[in-house]
Order: sequence, then structure tokens, then C-alpha cells
Amino acid sequence: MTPLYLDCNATTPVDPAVVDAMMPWFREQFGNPHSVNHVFGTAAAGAIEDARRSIARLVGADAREIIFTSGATESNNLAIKGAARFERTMRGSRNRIITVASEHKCVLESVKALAAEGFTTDVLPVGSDGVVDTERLQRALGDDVILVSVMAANNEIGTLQPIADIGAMTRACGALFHCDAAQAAGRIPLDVNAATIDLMSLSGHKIYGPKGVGVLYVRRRPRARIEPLFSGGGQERTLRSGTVPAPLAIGFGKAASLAAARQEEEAARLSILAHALMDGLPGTSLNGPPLENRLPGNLNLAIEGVDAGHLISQVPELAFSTGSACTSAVIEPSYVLRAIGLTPEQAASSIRLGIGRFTTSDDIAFAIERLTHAINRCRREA
Amino acid sequence: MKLGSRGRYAVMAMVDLGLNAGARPVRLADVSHRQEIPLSYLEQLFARLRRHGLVNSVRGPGGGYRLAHPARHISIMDVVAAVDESTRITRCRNEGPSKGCMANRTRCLTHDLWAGLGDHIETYLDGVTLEDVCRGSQRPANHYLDHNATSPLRAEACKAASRAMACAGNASSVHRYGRHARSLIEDARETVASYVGCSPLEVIFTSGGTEANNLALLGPDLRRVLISAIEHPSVARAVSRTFTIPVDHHGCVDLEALEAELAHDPGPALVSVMAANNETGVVQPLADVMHIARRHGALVHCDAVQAAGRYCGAWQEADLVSLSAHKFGGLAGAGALIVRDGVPLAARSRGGGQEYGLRAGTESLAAIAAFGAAVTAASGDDGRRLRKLRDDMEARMLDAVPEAMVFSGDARRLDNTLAIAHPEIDAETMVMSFDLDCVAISAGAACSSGRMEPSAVIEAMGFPSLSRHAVRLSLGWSSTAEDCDAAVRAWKAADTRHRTRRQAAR
Repeated sequence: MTPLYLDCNATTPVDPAVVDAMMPWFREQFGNPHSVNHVFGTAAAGAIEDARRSIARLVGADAREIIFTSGATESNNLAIKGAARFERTMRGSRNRIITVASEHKCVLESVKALAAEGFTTDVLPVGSDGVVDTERLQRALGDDVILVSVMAANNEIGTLQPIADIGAMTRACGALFHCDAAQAAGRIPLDVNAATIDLMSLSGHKIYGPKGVGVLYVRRRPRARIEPLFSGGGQERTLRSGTVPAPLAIGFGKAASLAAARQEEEAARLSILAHALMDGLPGTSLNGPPLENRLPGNLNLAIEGVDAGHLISQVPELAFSTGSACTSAVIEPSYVLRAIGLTPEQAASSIRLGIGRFTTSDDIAFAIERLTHAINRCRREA
Repeated sequence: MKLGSRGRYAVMAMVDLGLNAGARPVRLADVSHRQEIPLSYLEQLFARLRRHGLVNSVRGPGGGYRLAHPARHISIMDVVAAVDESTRITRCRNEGPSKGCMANRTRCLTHDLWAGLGDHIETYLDGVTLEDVCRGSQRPANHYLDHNATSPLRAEACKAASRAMACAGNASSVHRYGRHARSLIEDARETVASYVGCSPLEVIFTSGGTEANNLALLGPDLRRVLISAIEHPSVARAVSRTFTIPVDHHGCVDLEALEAELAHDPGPALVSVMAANNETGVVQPLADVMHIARRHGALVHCDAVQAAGRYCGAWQEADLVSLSAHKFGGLAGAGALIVRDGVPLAARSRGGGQEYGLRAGTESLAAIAAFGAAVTAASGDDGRRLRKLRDDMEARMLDAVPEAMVFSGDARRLDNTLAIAHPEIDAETMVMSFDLDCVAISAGAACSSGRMEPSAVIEAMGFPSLSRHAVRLSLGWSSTAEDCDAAVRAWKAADTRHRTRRQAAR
């Protein structure tokens, strides 16, 4: 039996409409989009531009500000290292990078890599709801700051950061604001201008698109300048060399237009399902912010007296996780949960449930029944 | 641009004639009514079209006009020229002194610009027949000979990609969905490893050849990097300071220069030489390169993007090898770097620690699954089939234009690649001309922009005067004898057009 998928913060299934949009570009229309002298190439290039426009529309950007990458990890690396290295190569008066303790691993690792290159780095703490203290950020900001990187929504506990405030503060001190919106895109409204975002990372596979494609939004006015990570043929306005994978980019474009059309209705539906799921599991406590201030569809629950890893093995009918997928093969308590003040024991008894577009209310009822059964059994054993 | 209403109305009227051709001739009054063109104006146009032998008139009751030839034998340029429409955009004729742009110069600078555009317009209109327009569709370029840019997805790879897209999991998740995704990736890794002849632990999946090349060159902490003069930009531009190993006129690296440079400075070094060149297909003497490098304790990186899936050889033994799936029938968005055990390499993109910590990011599941399937399918290809098609096509093209030049023709080449220059037709015109004849080829690399730059590869081989003339025809798993026939026809047609135009200019 196929287990019920409840891990939509790790990745989402590809929407059938996205698959349909991609299929023609697999076989019949296979040109290299950078071959400009024959129709095979120009057809692919045209479709990629349509995809670029759809993705731009999802976040209120201009299509020319969208750079295709291999995913959000590459986008985050490109934004953070690219901005820092550009500053050092070109001017060199600013030297500091600010980020937050609960960011995605690839943001924290990029910042760590910059520290090794000689940049000063600040990692700000978060409160028990996972929100960064904006007063503290204000104090940390200064004219030596190159970049502030804060995610729109957290991948483990669904915290929504006050990105509009952060954007305004960052702009006022002349630094760039990078926002990792891999989780937020398509789930909450996003607008790069309203939040004065200079660089923003998005991922295809978190919004029911294919894996292996993401974008980096790079503001044109005022221009956010970054240094590319790779050299090569100079594709994507010289910021990202390498053949753009046409079917993947087109799939992402379709996923973005579906997300834009359904965001509001889907958020309302996911919120109802998340409430039902939480209410159906008494004796658990919610890690992170209350559901009203949370990424729709995300739940992170501490179940006292139960080891999360053991619980997962007890419910093979459900696919969910203890936290971020990247590190979930490594068995150690989540650093995000530790950052919001959980003890190692509490973190080790926490699970993440991710509800998505294809989750039904019957699925929720089934999940409640199986989880309750397994939790009771785990507690009895203990 | 001066192509005005006369030319456009003439084309409209001729299309009308083509569409309404029946047993009876078409009355001009009907054309006038349907196309909303004044009758007296049409009569003037048709007098000229008849003089140029494009239409026949039928007198008497029930009379009118008919196309003089089948619509597929009338080009749009024929129609435009018959009504005396000029496609020249420049007023100056670039001959003798005039008061326009020629003033104070021996050679007019803007003339060449507009004259070039005029030539392209003519070539374009020449390539479109009345039948094409009557059919009302842009003609598909149905002969694809640009496999070195990208190869169509193989059926096996398409099936693997579709199956992978049905898998919901993230390969790093520990639940069943995640494990399924992980197994698809590990199967592909094993397939790639067994094809290259390495351990699966030595295969690092990347987003493609460019990323693999950058990872290889920027990863090891080395004082010196030596690269050949004909490397792909993703190698050539990856490190700022390199020693360039020259190539001979076949495009093969100069082994003595390599040896001398390594002997000159014995510090740790990385030598990067591609397995086969993307523009000419020339195969590099990699066994010798590795022999020399190893004697001097240097590491060898090989960009095998064009070689992988096409031939097995010494490239498989290099310390670092770059591969790309979409060059042999996989999906764009997947490549690999082979990192032999013990080769020091630092991660370029940090994050979740995927790919043994060398390349973070959620794996591109569908593209990686397609990569594995394409490798398996490519292993079964018959290289001799492509070589025969290519050699035969090459011979016929040289037969038609004996003064044409084939690059790396006397060296060991990929079986699928032909780089050839027509000494009098520049590459851009040739590629457009092929496109109009439904054959997709390219002028060198497909990389970044629409701008056609002289080929650095051809220049490095010592043919600077031909660097703007070389075009590349590259075959692949889907190529047929019909594709090659169409290419030979397009080549001959381009040559004929060129000669006709040159004679007209005299």
C-alpha cells in the first residue's frame, strides 16, 4: 500500500497539469534554447520566456529579473556569495552579512563559507515563535552591511518573518535584502516591491513543479549586483552559465501560474485541514507560531514522551518527517527547534506534517486515526 | 527598409491566386474584392508579374489569371522582384564618391551594415515559397543536425523522466517516498559509474556540464591550471589565471608545450583537456596528456561532455571527468562530475550536504533518472552508422563546393561531427539559409547570445580568415540518411544562391 504523503514542506508531487505542460518539450520540441538560429532553439527560448513571465507574475517582478538556476540551494548560494563577492571585488567598503539562526541549512552554510573568506557575519537569534526580533536587527544594521538574508517562511515550523519591515530597514541602511522564499512562494502572497526585496530564491519542487529548477529574482531598479558562481557560456544575463533545462523551466512556469491562480483558495483550505489535524491530536503541542500566523499547511508538533523517530517507524501508512529533508538522514535534533528554545528531548519528540494541494479531509481523518493509535502505543511502551 | 505596399500587395494577390486556383482562371475583379485592392492597381501589378513569367493570362469570357508554375516553384523574392520592389535599405551603392555616407572615407561604414541586412532579407524571401505562405504555417525545420548543442530526448529517457515525475518524494527524506526517489538516483548513479568504469561513490550529480566543469576547476586548491586553447567557455573562463596549451592545425593539443610547461614549474597543477571538441569533434590525445601529467604529478580534468555517450576512450581514466546528459539523449538539467577516489575537491555550493557533501541541493530527480536511461541506451548505439552518414555527407558537400574546407578532417574526430567552411559564405548566412531549407545546424557553440562571434576554436587552430565561415553539422541517435540528404541539398542551394547573387552584382 502506498503511504499517505504528508511531507509537503520537503517536496511536493508534480501537479498533473505541470506534467502535461512539460511533455511536449521532452520529445517534439527538444531544441537548445540558446541555439538562436533555428526554430528548434527559438521555440524553446520562447517557451522559457513565457515561463519566466509566469514566475515573475507570482512575485510581482519583471521577467527580466528572473534568473533560472538548478534550485533554491543554488539560488541561495548565488545570492549570498554573489552579493558579498561582488562587493569585495568592486568596492570593498562593506564587509558584513546578517542572517538568522533558523534559516535553511544552505543559507547558513553559505554565510559560514563567507566567514571563512574573511567577511564578518552576524547570525541573529529568534524568539519562541521563530520570528526574528526586528529591533535587534535594526541595531545590527549599519553602513558596513552588504546583505541581510531572512527567509519568508520557515521550512520546519512555518514561521512567517516580517519581511516588509526587514526590507524597509535594510534598504534604509543601503544593504541588499535577500529572501529565501522557497517555502512561501505560492502559499502566501509575495511581492518583491511591497517588501523591498533585492534578491529572492524560489524552488520549482516546492510548488508542485519539477525538481532541479529554481530561480533567483535579481532586482533591476535599483540594481542588485552579484557575481556569478560559475563561468561559462554566459546564459541568464551572464549570471548563471549552463544550458537552461527547457522542460524543467517550462514546468516551473506552469506550476507558478497554477499557484498564482489558486493561492488564496488553497491557503484557506489548507488552514482548515491543518486545524482539523491539530485538533484531532490532543496531547500534542504546537512548535512555533500559532496556526493563524503560520505557513498554510505546515504543522510541527511536540509529542511528549514519544521519540519521533520511533513514532515514524510505527506508522508506515503515513509519510512525514522529523524536520528538514536535507538533514533528516542525519539523526540529530533539529537546529531550528533548538533555536526557538526547545530542549534536545523536546526536539527529539517533534514531528513535521506538511499538508498540500492533494491532501483531502478523508486523508486528515485517516492520519488522525493512525497517529493517535501509534502515539498511544508508543506511550504505553514507554 | 523600402519593401513597400507594391511588394506586399503583389504577394497578397499571388497567394489569392494560389488559394483559388481551380479549373477556371481567377478573375482580377474577384481578387480585388477579396483582398480589397483597387482593380486598376492590380492590373498594373499583374502586367509586371506576367512579363516576369510568374502568371499566365487567359483572354475572353471566363478569362483571368493563373500561376505560371506550381506554387512551390515560386519564391516570395521572385514576386517582390517582379514588381520592382527593392529590398535594398541603403541609398548609397558603395561605388565611387557620393555625398552621402561615403564622404571623406574610402569605404562606407554604414553601407555594409544595411547591405548585410538587405542580403538577409533577400535570402529569407528567397527561401519561402508561395506554397509555404498558402499553407499558412511556418515550416517546421524537420531535419535536426545540431546534436552537439542538444540531442532530442530518447524514448527510454523520456519514460524514465515521466516515471520519476510520478514519484512525490525528496531523495533526502527517510520515508518510503524519499527512499523511492533515492533508489531512482542511486540506480542512475550506478549506471553512469559502470559506463565510465568507476565506483558509484565517485559520481557527483550536478545540474549539467557547466557546473561540473566549474566544480572540477575551482574545487582543488592548486597553484596552477593548464588548459588547452580550445576548451569550452565553462572551462576557459572558470579560472582567471591559466597557462594555455596551444593546439596544432588539426586542433590537437601540443604535447611538447604541455611537457615543457610542467617541467618548467614542478608545483602541484591541474591539466584540463577536453575529450572531444564541441565545434570540430577532434579527439584529443588524452592518454598521452595523462601520461605526461602523471609523470609530473599533475591532476588531469577532462571535459567529456561531447565524448560521453558517443565513444569510450582514455577520457574515462582522468582524475576528474565532466559529463552532460542532454548531449546524448538525456534531459537538460543533469550532468555529473566523476571525482576519482583521493582527488582533493572542495564543495562549491553549500547546504543540505547532498552528493557526498560536494554539491548541495535537492537532486533533479527526473533529469537524473533520464540521464541513467540515456547512458544505457547510448551504450547500445552503433557509432559506425553515424560515421558512414557523416563521411558520405561530407564527401557530397566537398564534391559540390571543392574549395570548401573541412576542419580536423585528417585527425581523429567524433563520428557525428562535421565542421566545414564555405570560403565565400559567412557562417550566419549559411545557418539561416539551412534553416530556411528546414535543416537546423549551427555556427560553433550554442552558448549565450544571438551574437555571432568568430570561432575561437578555428582561430586557435590557425585559420583566422575562416573563423567566421565555419558551420557545424552534428548528428546523433535520431539522425537519418534523409537528414543528411536535406543538408547536402541546403548546402548546394546556399552555394547556388550565392553564385547567382554574385553574378547579378557584376
